[in-house]
Amino acid sequence: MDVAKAKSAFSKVALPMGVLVAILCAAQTLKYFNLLPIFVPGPWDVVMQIWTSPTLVSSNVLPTLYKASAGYLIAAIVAVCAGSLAVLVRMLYGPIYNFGVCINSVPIIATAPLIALTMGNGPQVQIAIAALASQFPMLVGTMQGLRSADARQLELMHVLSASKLQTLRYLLAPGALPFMLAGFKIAAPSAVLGAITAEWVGADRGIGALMLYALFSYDTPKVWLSVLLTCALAASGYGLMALVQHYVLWWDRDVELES
Amino acid sequence: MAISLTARRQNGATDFLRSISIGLLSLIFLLGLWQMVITVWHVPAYLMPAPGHVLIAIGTNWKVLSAQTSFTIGAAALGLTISTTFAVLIAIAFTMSRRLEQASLPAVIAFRSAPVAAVAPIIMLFFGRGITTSVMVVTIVSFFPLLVNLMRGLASTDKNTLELMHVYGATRWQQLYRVRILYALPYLFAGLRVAGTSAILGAMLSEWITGSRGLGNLILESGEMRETELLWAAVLVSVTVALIVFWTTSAAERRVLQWKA
Repeated sequence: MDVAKAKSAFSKVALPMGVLVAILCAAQTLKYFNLLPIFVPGPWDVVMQIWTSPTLVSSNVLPTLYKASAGYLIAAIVAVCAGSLAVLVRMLYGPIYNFGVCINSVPIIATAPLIALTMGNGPQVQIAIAALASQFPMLVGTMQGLRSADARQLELMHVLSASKLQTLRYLLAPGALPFMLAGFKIAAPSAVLGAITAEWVGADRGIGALMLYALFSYDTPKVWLSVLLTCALAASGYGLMALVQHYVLWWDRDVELES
Repeated sequence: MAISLTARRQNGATDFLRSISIGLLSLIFLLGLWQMVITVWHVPAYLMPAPGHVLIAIGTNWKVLSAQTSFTIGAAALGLTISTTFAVLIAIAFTMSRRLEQASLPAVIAFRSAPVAAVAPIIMLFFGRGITTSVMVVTIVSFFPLLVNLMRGLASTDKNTLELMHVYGATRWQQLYRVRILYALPYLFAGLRVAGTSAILGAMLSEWITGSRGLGNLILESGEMRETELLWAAVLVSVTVALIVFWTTSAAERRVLQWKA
């Protein structure tokens, strides 16, 4: 193992961790002497929330996780299909892209009550909004990735008399993968956030519901707990996709998506 | 040179007309599609009212809609102004002092990844259920895209130009306001495009959880009261506001970019 590498990994992980622990200890000390404002609970109170009622955490995290991942999967399938269609049929390129931009720039969760009106008051509303909130990066990634092949490479495939399928398999798909995975990575937290904000409108279970109940009863430790759970879920979605990206792509990791 | 400039300006004008007519046509197309869906499938009015009825609802509820919309837009605009000011000041401070940048960048990155849904409740605990919460949420949500873009813009300055400034013996401030800021302008507008849409969104979201006045709350309440026509009217207004913000900032961005092209 390389010493310098180990050292840099240490400073990357240990240093922020040390700062975090120091901040938490400081907050706890301040709380002990009643120096923190009333709406900032001591870190220990938040941890105790998990300890005293583990079902509270699991029964709210699991529904949100399910809704967010269902919406994310639906959005991924639709975005990849629409993106491929847009690249295949030139005429549809503009309309599909603009439609994606429109959905992305409109405050889509503002339409949550509307969607609830037509789809009923179940998890399907949150799934739909998670899908709508996360579609755009995946669409852009697919469209940009499938078009990233060089004209000369395409010519080479033609000269080698490759079939359309072979061109897709050996040239287009490997070229598109970095862009698509970059889009998938960015989209993961937005799916979680879409699901949580949609839960504010009406859901009996989920992190968003927990957050709203806690806010309206001024249960500060629970508010902070739900905020922490939100961050953890969004970050782990991002981290999971980053891991996938790391292991699937060993050749070309750094691509930049156009916004 | 002059000829190409006027040609470009005319091109811009025709482009503008073209995009407006495309927008209007697609609007008419959408309204027609909407009406068609209702007449073909006999969608009951409590689910999806006819476009005409929604337009009438906009007319009759004009006062409520405009009052709540101005509330939301006010909060968004105020927050956006504050965040732009701070982002510009901090980005300039970072360019002036590398040490400051290195010291505070990790904190900036950590805060940047905090999502709206997580920021809003904590802000509400701090500031209570008023417009202050909306303004603060908008400020925080729109601050980071602006700062990141500005820093990238200030760093994008052409090396040769900076060297020329050095040869002329320009001070760091002269370097900043004669060169760097010009290079950063397109990036500022790209940041504003992202920040503008998230500002409207942030304002509406914070109205949801605080229950204070505004367009977001109007949508939520009319949804719960099953006042379908008012709900659709409010959603249409909010979508229009968001699209107008998006288009104006995109147009401003293109306008500023023309200078570079």
